[in-house]
Amino acid sequence: MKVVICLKQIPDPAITEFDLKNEKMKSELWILNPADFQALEEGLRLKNKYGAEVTVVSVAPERGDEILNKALRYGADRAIRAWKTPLIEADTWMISSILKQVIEEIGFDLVLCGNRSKSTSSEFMGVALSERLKVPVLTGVVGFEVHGEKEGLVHKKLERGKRETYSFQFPAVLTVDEGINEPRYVALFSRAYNEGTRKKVESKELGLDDIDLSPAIELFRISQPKPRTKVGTKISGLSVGSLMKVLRGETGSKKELFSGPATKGAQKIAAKLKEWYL
Amino acid sequence: MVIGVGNGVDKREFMAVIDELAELLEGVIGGSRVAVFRGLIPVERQIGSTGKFINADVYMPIGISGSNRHTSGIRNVKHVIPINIHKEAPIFKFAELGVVNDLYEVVPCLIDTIKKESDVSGDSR
Repeated sequence: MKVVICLKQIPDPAITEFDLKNEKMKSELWILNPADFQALEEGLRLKNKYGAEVTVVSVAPERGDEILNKALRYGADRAIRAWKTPLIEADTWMISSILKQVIEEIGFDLVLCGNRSKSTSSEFMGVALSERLKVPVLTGVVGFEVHGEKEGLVHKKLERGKRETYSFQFPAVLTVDEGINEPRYVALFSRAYNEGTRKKVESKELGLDDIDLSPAIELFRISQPKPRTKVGTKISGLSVGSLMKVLRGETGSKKELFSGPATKGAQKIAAKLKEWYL
Repeated sequence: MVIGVGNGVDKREFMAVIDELAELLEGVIGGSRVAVFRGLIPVERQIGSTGKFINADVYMPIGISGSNRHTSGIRNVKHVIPINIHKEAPIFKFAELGVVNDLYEVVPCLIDTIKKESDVSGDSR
């Protein structure tokens, strides 16, 4: 059984800020997308159980070697990094085209992806891949078992803990939801770790003509968050006096903030004073 | 009617004007801790958590930003009309009508306006 796992390197969401002016992520630390990590763990379990051959693929520039090396240390057999030099602003559809070329070259029974990435969370890569590879797709998988040679069962989430189960024939694309498993811990300088460090990441530079370069969608605008407005009054923490005020409806008075010339302000105050005293 | 003076009143001569205003409105003068330190008001007139808690109908803080220590003393006031030059001053949270302008301009104008109106209506207030 051949299992291909697609990995994505994302800027660490804990420290990343979005630069609104340049419409780009300001990133310093790059990590492996957690959902992809769990897809990797699912693939490695297949390797331990059925002797599957696990290949990890990532479309990334050279910094992507970091996560692929990590996947190798966790137990993957092969790691392939595909990239094309002028590819900077690529959308999911273009990247799926690159992934398709790589995956078809390797050959596959199963393609595992994370359900969504923490950076863009479009939840689209698995679907796009299945379209490119012309195989069925199952999204949001929370449980997975293999029956026989070429058949599998997949659990998907419904509301309130209900599950639906699908059976399918290989080959297929599965996108793995977070919480499907608990990723393993590989200790430093353990046997698996040392074996992984000996393997090398294969990097592939794809030719210009191999993929269609036109992005299907374009980023149009990023807007600032709207300021939140307070509605209603909290009465649980109030003293008796102010609570009575609220119940009598006295706090709902119309507030006015006047910032104009001094003479007009003075006239306003005088009018108010007159109103209250007469 | 209580008039409060605070950190914004940094000219001692201006207290005469505020005295006049208090007389016109038949009010008394209180103030924040800073005003006490400046010697603008006696310590018995201090409003706030370390001073007096007031129950006035109208309170007019002049040049008071409205720290928690001060505003805890004016919780039971019905109407608050602050005059402050800073738009973000926390005293405006309590305000029914807030005037954002220089107090050295607003207070003399206010005295003029009240005097004119009392001339017309014959009411001293």
